[in-house]
Amino acid sequence: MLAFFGRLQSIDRRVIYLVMFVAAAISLIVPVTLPVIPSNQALNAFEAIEKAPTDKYALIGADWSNSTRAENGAQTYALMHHLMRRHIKFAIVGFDVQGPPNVEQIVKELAPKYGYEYGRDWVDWGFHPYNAIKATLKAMVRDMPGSMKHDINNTDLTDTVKLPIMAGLKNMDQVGLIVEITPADTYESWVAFVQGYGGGKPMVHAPTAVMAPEAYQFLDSGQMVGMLTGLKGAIEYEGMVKQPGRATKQALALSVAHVLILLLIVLGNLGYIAQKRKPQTRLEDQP
Amino acid sequence: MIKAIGDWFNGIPEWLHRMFPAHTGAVGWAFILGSVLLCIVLFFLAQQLRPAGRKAIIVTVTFLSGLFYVLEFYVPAKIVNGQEENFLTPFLPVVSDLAQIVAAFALGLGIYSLVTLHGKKVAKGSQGWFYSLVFFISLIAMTFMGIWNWLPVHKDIKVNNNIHDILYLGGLNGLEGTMFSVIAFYIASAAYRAFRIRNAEASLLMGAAFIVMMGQVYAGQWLTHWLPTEGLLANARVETMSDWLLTRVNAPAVRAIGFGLGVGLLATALRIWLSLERGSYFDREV
Repeated sequence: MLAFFGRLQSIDRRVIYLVMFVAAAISLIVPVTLPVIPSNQALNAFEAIEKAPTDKYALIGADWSNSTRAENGAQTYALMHHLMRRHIKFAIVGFDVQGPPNVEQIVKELAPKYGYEYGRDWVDWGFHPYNAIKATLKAMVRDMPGSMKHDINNTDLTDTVKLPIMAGLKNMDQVGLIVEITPADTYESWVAFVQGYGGGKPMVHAPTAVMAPEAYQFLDSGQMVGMLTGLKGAIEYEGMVKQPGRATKQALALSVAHVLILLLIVLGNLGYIAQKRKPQTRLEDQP
Repeated sequence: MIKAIGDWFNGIPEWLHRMFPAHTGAVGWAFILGSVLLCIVLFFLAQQLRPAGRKAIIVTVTFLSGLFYVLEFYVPAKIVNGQEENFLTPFLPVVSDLAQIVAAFALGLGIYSLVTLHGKKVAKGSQGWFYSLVFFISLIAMTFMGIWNWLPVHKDIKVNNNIHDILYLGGLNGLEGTMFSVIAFYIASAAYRAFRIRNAEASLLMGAAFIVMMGQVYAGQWLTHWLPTEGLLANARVETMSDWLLTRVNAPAVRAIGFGLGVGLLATALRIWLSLERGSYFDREV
């Protein structure tokens, strides 16, 4: 018996991969919707967008690439549903080259439903080099058309005929909400150079689950008002805005994968304990 | 006198915009090509300088760049058009443009480095040359379609959009997502091997990880869903314990590390700004 348990701590990694693959695949196919218990961070994020003034603008930090689409893409869908439902006008800016086109794709998908029109209700300022994020954000705070220069279609941001939204969006005075969606540390620059403007703007952060623990300190300090933690945050937010989508469909797979990892840890430790209890063969007894 | 100097200084950004207005069309392209050529000439001129001469330029530019932001932050400001500003504040967009242009050079450097590395592999036919060839095909295809699709005359042509979508959404999107999702398998295997209750610290770490992981999914939350949401027993709910660990244990620890990093960063920043840093990329050729 002890020998059997002892073997549990050396399961072949290929077996683990196969079990994980089968478990995740079946969970994604089975149409089961799990109940959602929203976290305080997600509730606060919802509250912040719910309270954001509609006569002011939101800034969307689109700093994610396709590699984290499963988490950041799902978060973007849920957040955009809420922003557009409340008809808050917004500008997109990104320091990851894939960020703005990814968010733009989602916005264009949702725009017809909420009657959003490019140039009037939203604008995409496009990609700016990450290496210059601090200088760019510092300049953007006080002069948006001057520092961002043009939109993704190369339209000058001072051209308020083509981009009527820019007639009212000049600097941070007109911004009532910041939403930063990122798997990286770009949120630190947003906190340092943008959030604190004018006594502090409400900032909602949507990181990947692995990056979330680093951001909790900004929730404590009040520099961030809410946070969507990875896919779990997206699931919670889809539930709150009553728009169950991709994230909700993946809730079962997320649960199963977590439980499987925990089960593997338990099995590994059972094996470890069993091996410790197994009588060790003394050197002098060996042939 | 001081006011006159201040007014003159504040007029510089406007003068710069007047002298170098934004151009579009053929004139815009001519300016872009001219700027690229000028940069190439400047690059080769800099290459002709002796290391001491190059270092002097780097030291001066680094110091002036840092000095700008230090002075802009510390020089007392006055309210102009409802915003706080001093005599350097109007220059922020100009300096931001310069920073973005310099940062964009990293793109060229990265492409140069990749092309050199993979070019050698393909030319020599060394091990893995096929993957290097895939790199060239991908680079050329994405760059060509990206620029081709971006040009206003091609923007609304459906075939172009479709090819771009196949490459970007059908190709890159799937490939990157796949690469990242593979981590789930590694994490499962690594967690299984790493989390062993070998000693008190390891047991503590595993216990905390267990609770946090359970708190992240409904399967974990379900275990204690029968407990009340308010009162003393609510503290025993998995999501409450997980939240407590993240906000009351994790956050102060991260903050403490952040303070340490901040002090270290300040010291490093000062050393770089004043060109006191030594080693590769600073006082030695690499």
